Amino acid sequence: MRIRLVFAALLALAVLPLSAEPRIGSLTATSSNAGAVTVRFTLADAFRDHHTVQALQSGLPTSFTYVVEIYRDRPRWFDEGIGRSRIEVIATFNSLTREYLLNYRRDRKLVRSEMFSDLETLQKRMTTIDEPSLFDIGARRPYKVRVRVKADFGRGFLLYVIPWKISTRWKEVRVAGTAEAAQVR
Amino acid sequence: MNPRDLLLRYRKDPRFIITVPLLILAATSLIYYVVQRAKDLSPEALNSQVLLFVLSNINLLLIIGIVFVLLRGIVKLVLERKHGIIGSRFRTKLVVTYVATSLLPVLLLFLFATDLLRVSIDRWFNTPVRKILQNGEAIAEMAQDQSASIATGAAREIAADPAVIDNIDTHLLHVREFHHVDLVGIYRGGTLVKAFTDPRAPIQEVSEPPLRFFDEVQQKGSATKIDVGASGKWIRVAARIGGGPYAAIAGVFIPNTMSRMIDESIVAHKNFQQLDSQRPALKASQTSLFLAVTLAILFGTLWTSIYASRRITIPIKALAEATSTLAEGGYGTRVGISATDEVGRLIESFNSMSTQLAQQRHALTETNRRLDDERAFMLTVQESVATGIIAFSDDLRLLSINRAALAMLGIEQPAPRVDLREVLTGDLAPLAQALCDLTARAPRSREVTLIRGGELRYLELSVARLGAGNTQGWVLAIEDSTQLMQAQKLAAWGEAARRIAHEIKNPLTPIQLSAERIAKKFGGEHPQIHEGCRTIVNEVSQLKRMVDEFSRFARMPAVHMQHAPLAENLQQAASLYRDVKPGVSVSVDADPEISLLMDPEQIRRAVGNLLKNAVEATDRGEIRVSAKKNQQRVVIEVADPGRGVADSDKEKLFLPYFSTKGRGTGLGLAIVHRIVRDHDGQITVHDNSPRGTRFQIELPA
Repeated sequence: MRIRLVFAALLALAVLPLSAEPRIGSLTATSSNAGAVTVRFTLADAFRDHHTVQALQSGLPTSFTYVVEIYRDRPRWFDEGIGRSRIEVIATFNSLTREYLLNYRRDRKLVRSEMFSDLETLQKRMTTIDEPSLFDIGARRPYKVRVRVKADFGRGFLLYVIPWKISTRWKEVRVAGTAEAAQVR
Repeated sequence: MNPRDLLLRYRKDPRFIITVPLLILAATSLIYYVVQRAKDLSPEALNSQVLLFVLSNINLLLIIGIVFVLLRGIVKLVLERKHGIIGSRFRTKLVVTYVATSLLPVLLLFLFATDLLRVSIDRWFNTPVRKILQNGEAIAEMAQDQSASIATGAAREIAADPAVIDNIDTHLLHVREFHHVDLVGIYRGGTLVKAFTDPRAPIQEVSEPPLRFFDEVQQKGSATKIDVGASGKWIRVAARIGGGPYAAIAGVFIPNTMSRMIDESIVAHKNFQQLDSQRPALKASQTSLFLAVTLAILFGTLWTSIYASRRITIPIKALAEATSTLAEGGYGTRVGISATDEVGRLIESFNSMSTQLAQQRHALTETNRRLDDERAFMLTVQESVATGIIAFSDDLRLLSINRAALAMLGIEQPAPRVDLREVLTGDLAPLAQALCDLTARAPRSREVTLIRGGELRYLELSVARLGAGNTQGWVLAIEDSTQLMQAQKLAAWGEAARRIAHEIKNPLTPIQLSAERIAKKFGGEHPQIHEGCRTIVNEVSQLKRMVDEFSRFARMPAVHMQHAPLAENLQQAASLYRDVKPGVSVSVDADPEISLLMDPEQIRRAVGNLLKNAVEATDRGEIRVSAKKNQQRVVIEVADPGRGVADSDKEKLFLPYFSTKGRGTGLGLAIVHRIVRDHDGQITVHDNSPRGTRFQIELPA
């Protein structure tokens, strides 16, 4: 019994840090009759690390980069890549005017810029992505197509020297058809 | 010329090899200098991904370069050692020493220095400065918040009275006066309705609030906007008036004299926070930079060490190879590599030594060649002279013997340093004894008589002491005086014969006449007298015939040489003795092509004499006469199956008046010998096989 408790404690210790790490959540992908795929997802626990908030508040440009891929699942064979999109949200705080500038870029092109005076609104805006018609799957059947997302939210250094991206795990979901989406709603 | 050709052309150029590491060091130093000078750069620049990317790639390239140079050097050294190339072991030691003495200190220094750097960076952010900046920002924000709260109070007071729309001017002016704000106004859906400002506050420096500002006011009830103008900072606060589209706004202007201090305090702390947030990147960039410098030093050191080891070992390798060549006989081998240090002096000494050796060897070769020439000359002379020459040591061991001596002694070429007493045995034993006597005491010359091959030989010996160099011994000169002696004897015998004939022949005629007269006068009466006289006459006739023979021998006619066919002469000589004796036949086997310079009559006489003796000595069988050409000699043989000649008689066989037949004058073979000698020939007698005698005449062809 005591041994089980020790194991449970160790497991909890091992799981706790993982649960605090940012992760992709609430991922949905729906396809219209015309084949346009809308992708929605959130990045959970992105600002749980106080260093991130501190960096943002200090005026450093803080960005999250979302990589969204859509592919056709082929069992026991290589998947067929259909499309890939890169969404960047970059927030910069102006400490003099106490405003946040949010630049929203898709595939390295600036889509929109927004100003926020509220941190909470900014955080929600940075971590909630709703991209209608992000991909076009054409005549492919939606249930054979999957979408996966990961977010690059920081940068680490291996051996203090080698830079590497800190990313979430890939989160993937099957594309839902119009009818299926309606049922979900 | 493309870069590859340029690299191949210059890669072994010392200037190139030294310049490249120096350039790398200079580039790294420049980067380091620029970064050190970049204190005024923004945190974004220091944290730039481009900078880290560049540094990472420089480090990667340097690591690849170091690994490549190191592996290449190791592989080359291993291959050189495997193939046993001279100098590879020494070079390995040099490279290992260089690398060990440079790599370890540099790596240790890098580890300690980077650790110190990281600790120092951490220490920067743990100083009281953080607190000071934090407090400064707090004070500045408090000052700004105080202005914002005044504006908020004014805006809320305006918004608190829904009837303000009806009496805008009065109310707004009242609030402005009461709250000492610089701006009061009413907006409707983002459009200004009415506003009053302090003439000293430049509201025109800032733009109208955007619609989203009023949207926020509508949503949250109030909103604050801070704008920075050229003369100062405006803090504007808006509050929703009731539930309608109207919003009251109040603003406070903070002039530059104050707002600048507020902003500087805020910015200073924010910058500090930014640096703090970028601490890992800052550590990474600094460490990368330090690593780049370290790797550049390592690369340069490694390159230089391998190059230096090669530069050191190249002359040593060349020297070792030249030494090996010299040891194998390559005199005059020179090392073509120049060096200015001690190795250079060693190379100069080696080249000088090699040159001297070559010169000495050349001189030695010349001397040996001259000696060989002289030796060949002496050998030629020795071999060509008719005098036999034998050189021997004090203990009678053979040193050399010439061809004439071998021919005189009738022996084969003995083994070198053989004891002459083992060679000169049998018939030659007197010669060995004579050698012992001659070398033991004076006189150093004497005459020795030998019977060799049934022929009497007169040899005159004389010895002389060898005293040249390390060779101690004697030289024996042998003169064959056999022919001379025989000629002298023949001449003496001829003179004697001539005198005897003269002295004897003169009284013989009177004796014969007297005997015939006595027989005539008293023979009829006295048969005994008649018989006696007849005996006297017969004996005198016999004596006269003998004297005539002597006379003929003494007066041998001079030879008349002419070219004549030999076979024909032999046939003519043989025809006289065919069928002379029953059971005895004569055959001739002569090459008809042989033509000889000779006196045909004399040769026929000589062969006839030999055939006459052969027929007399043979009871039954065939007498063979043959002639054949042997190199420069023509050999005529007369072989019979007769009684043969005893060895004891062979030495005297050709002397005049020697006969084994008990009758005759004994001049036949003497005449043959004389004819042969007159033809510069030689006659020898041998035992015939299976029996009989074989005479061999050798004449010059």
